Amino acid sequence: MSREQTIIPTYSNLKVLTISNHKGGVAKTTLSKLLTEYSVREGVRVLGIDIDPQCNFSARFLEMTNDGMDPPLHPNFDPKDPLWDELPYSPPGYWSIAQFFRLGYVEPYPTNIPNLHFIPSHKKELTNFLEQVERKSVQEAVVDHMRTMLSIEYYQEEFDLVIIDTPPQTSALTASAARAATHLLIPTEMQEDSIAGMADMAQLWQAENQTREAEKLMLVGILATKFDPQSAAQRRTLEQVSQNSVLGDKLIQPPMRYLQTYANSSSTYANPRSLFEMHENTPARIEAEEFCKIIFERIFR
Amino acid sequence: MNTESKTKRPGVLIKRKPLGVQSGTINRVAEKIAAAESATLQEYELRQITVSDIELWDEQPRKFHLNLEDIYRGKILESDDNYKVKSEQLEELIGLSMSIKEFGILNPPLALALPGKKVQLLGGQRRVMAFIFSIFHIRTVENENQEGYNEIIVNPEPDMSLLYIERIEVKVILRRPDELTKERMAMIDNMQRVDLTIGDKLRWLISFADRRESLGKKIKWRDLIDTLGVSRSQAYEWLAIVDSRKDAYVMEVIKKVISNLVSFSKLLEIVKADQELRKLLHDKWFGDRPAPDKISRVSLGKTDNLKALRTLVLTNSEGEVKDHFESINWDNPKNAKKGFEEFLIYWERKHG
Repeated sequence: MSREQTIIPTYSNLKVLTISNHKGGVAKTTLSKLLTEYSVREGVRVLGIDIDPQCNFSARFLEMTNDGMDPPLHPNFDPKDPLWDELPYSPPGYWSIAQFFRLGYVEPYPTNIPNLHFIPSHKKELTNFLEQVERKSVQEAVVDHMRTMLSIEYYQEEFDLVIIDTPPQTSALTASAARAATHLLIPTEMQEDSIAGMADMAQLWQAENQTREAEKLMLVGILATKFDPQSAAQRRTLEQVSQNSVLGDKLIQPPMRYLQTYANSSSTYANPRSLFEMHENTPARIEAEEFCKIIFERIFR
Repeated sequence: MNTESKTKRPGVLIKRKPLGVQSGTINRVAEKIAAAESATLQEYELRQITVSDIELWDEQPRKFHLNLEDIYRGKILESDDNYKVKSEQLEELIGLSMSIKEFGILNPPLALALPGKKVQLLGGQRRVMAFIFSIFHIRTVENENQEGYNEIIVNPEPDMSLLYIERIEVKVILRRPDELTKERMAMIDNMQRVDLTIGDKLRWLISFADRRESLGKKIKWRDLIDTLGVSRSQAYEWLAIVDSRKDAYVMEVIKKVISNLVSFSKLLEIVKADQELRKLLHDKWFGDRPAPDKISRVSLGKTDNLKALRTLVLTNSEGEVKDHFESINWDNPKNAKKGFEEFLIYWERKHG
């Protein structure tokens, strides 16, 4: 039967990491923040993309307005420039991932960190867009959208790594992030619901790989998050996972333990600005450096 | 005190489940991950999908007036513009629905994968609707013999949450085909299930009726809408054929319909006619060939009292024949059957 082949645009050197798990509260955003900071410090040019309407990833690197729900005005925005008026959306002055999906174009924000750019989320607009996608069944187009954008020359030349933080749900946006990705990272808690939730994730991953002829989506690994070494149940689960013939290789050690420290260090006005600026003997920093290093090396090996 | 010491007896302690995530969960996830990692380019896969994740296709080839609202409601509103057409379609759908309740969907509907969990139907709209009807409005009830049978109970307030629980097996195409291929596939999916020919249905019906009759049961209209996929009014027409199938004229037309020599409407016409009219119609259609001999066969029932059979045969026969019958081993059912047949022939010859 003759079929129109699904042509997936290829990247030259760009790596795209999607951090995803359909289960909420498994420290996806915390991990996105840590990895972004780590990668930037390793000297790669990073683009952060936040497609979670909660905007927490965006708020780490940009000064969001309206209680952290709206992106700030773009530094390139000049109210007197007639070009801005010609843009087919309003109110003008900011860009978010919602505009990217709607208009097919977005201008990444520069951040305080020189080699980090960011495309923020926008709670209201993204939520509205999601509802429309559900209704209009235009999901197919949405899914290919992000990969198509990232494959254009600008992104290929300006960035080495894109880190996408996803919302905890199955939607066209999550599928879009999976389509755009070259690498997938699954954070999970060591408890029944989160582990079972990985099966849904695997389903999406499998469906994605079934549509790709080459450049398969690679699993960087599974990171145990919110790990409490005091809990016998969690210890036993971690041991079981690490002994499993399939999951054992995927498990990234050490597990993430110091969630509280990570959360504090990555708040908008935290001092020092980053976990990686804390004293080098800080257990949280040591731990984060270890698992970030493994993830980073698995992406760029 | 006594009871306490009993419960604490060694070996009676209940073994606690080990802490942490159960190994079954971990293995299941590992299996999925292994499958995802080794996934190769595929055309389609079979998936178990909740009804809520299936989107109907509006441009399907089969002209279909029913919509989901009608199915949820379980009946057509009289104020509906398409009341008549929809009622007929619903009646047919109920038949399909009954068989789905009993056997499930044997031929999975064809669908296109949408991002995430959802799929878009390409074929099998009717099957999916019938499935929804069956979960909302068909209940399995037990009769006095504790045999379950399905009954339509139109539920005015169906439990919509069932749509998020009940699953259908769907053949999901993973890569989006072009529009033309999509249309062709939808057409093929509908063509593959084109109804059986009238002849096939009739042949099945007659043998089914005979088998039911030998069990002392009659066919009901419900049996027919289930399996033949006909409406209730059509089912009554088929029942009329069953009832008059032993009439010589009707029998002849049935044979002709099965061998595709005569149209089904002629059969219906002759079934509805009375005896005189049947002869007239028969002569009109098939010329002046004589009507077939009216041979009627009678089943003589069954007995396990072979001794009674022997006595009956021996008291009604004489001479050499009686000697012959006496020599038969009447305790052997096979010999007894053969002997009784011979006796009937002898009796017919003697008494006409």
